[in-house]
Amino acid sequence: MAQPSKLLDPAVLARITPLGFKAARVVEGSITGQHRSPMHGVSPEFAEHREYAPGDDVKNLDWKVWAKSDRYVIKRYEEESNLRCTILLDASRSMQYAGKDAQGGRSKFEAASTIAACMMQLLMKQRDAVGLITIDTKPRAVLQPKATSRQAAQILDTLESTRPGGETELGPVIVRAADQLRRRGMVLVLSDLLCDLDTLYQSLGKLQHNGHEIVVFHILDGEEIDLPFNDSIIFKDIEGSEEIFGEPWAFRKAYQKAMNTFIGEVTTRCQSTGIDHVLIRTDQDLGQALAQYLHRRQRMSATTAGRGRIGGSVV
Amino acid sequence: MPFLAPLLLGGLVFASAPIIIHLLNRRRFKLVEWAPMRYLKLTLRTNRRRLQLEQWILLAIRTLVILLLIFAAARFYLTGNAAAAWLSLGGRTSRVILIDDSLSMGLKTAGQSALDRATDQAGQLIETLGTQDALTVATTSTLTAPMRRDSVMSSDEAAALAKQVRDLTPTESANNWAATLASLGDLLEGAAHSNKEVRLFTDRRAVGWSAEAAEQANRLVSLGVRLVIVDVGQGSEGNASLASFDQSAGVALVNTPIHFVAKIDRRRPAVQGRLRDPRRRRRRNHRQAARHRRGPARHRTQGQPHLRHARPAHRRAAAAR
Repeated sequence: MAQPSKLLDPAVLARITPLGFKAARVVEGSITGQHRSPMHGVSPEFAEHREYAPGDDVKNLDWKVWAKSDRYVIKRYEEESNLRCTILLDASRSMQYAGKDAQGGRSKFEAASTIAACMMQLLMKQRDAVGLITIDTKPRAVLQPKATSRQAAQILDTLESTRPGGETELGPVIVRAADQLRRRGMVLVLSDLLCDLDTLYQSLGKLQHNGHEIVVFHILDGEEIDLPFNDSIIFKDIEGSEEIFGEPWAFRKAYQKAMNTFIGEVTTRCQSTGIDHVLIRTDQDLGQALAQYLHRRQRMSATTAGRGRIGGSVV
Repeated sequence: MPFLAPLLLGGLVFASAPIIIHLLNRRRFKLVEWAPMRYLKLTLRTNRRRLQLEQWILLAIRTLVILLLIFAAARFYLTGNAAAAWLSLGGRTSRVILIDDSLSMGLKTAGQSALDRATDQAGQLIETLGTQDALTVATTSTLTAPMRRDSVMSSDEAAALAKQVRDLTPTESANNWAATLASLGDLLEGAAHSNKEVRLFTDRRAVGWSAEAAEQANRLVSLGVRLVIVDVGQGSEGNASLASFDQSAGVALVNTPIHFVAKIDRRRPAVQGRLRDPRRRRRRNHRQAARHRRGPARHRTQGQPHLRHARPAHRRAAAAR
């Protein structure tokens, strides 16, 4: 086997692997797995009885019920399926930014790739199918979800070879990417969300409408939030040509406030629409942030167990 | 403004340092490729006015600090009478305080003579003057032998001198301003400092002023002397009456000075009324005559027709004749 990818950060993996990752909503997989599926099939979990109709397989008849009540009913089981997870990775130029304090000198894109790789590893271990779509102004690499080890290698390859470029147009691109996701599953969005938020919300809404569960990993550099510079600085738009001269100490507080408002808005918006929003700062430990999120998710699914049953409502 | 080391004021050039540093800083910057441009622009747009104001205030403070430092280095000083020093002094000064002590200065108004007021003000001035200036104090009668001549005094000495000045009394002399100003000019020509100032306390009697005096005054001014005349007299005296006129000695002898004491009573105020204007009177007469020619006004005699053509009794008698 080739050299293990540097994206599979052992420190991160060690923290998240024991936690696992389970879909909160039903997902349509192709093989038996640990996630609940809308299908009925072979499983120890009893789901419901249904009146027999001509054409049903006789082997599914519940003979005990027939013995007691002289009625033909079919016994149905909850199918447990594997998860089809698609990772939407923002590969626009803005993701290239790497602050001085970033952990391991990672740019936002590298941090996002690491998260993508580790999440993929985690899901693959659960025998879940993972796909990857990198996006800038349009979907670039598109890897449909598969659960093979070849897929894992391909995803790692793509992650490593992708160089961020182009502008962030997350909203419309997600809509286009969504058309390629046929079966209900899970979508992980990894981006700094420095784009038009309204269209982003719309496209995320559309994904939700299609029955996908969405997790947004909001990746920002610590410097982008805190503006810790002391020198005079010319801020050059990373995705354009605009330049602004400024002395950051003069407006640091106001800028921090603006950024926090932005993050707060995204958080509340996601919460109100049932999207998981995870803020990742590249100057903080990735493994810890991910583990924290997964842990919280575990607890949440324990308390809300039973929500979103078979055929349950989709948003 | 008073500085002990005015040359160091050249350092004021450094006051422009903050501006230059700012300009240099603008040239030395860091280029950062920035992703959240949208929020940066938002911040700058909403805070532009506040930011600009802050920058200006900061610049002003920085400049001011440097200015103050340089002022301190140039040893800026203010004496006790700071305001006076600020306004009237331009370096060290040779100062002459000249007090008119002619007899007219003894004229009392409201219980205080003009000389009292003069010595009072002069005394105050002597006490508040700094120890930097050379001071000459003299009276018009003893100008050739002044009380102090071009001397720099400690504050104790100044207090003593002020007391001495306050004790002055009017002398039996009249003013000859031409001679006084001439010798003042001579006095100031040998003064220690180039800045010269004369403060003359007088009641500004017309006696003693002549064309020659004016000439002498002009000479003083042309010497660069600042001549300040402090008027201690009291305006117009108004009505006066001779209350008594006595001879001090019983007998008047030939070739012997004799004293007369005249008591002038000035308690009654002058008449302030308007003088009668003779033209006014003429006009009034003219109006009366015209009214008489027109005859009595109609409304006055309405309802009394028998009086309308009434004539005075003597006219009636004349007509009957």
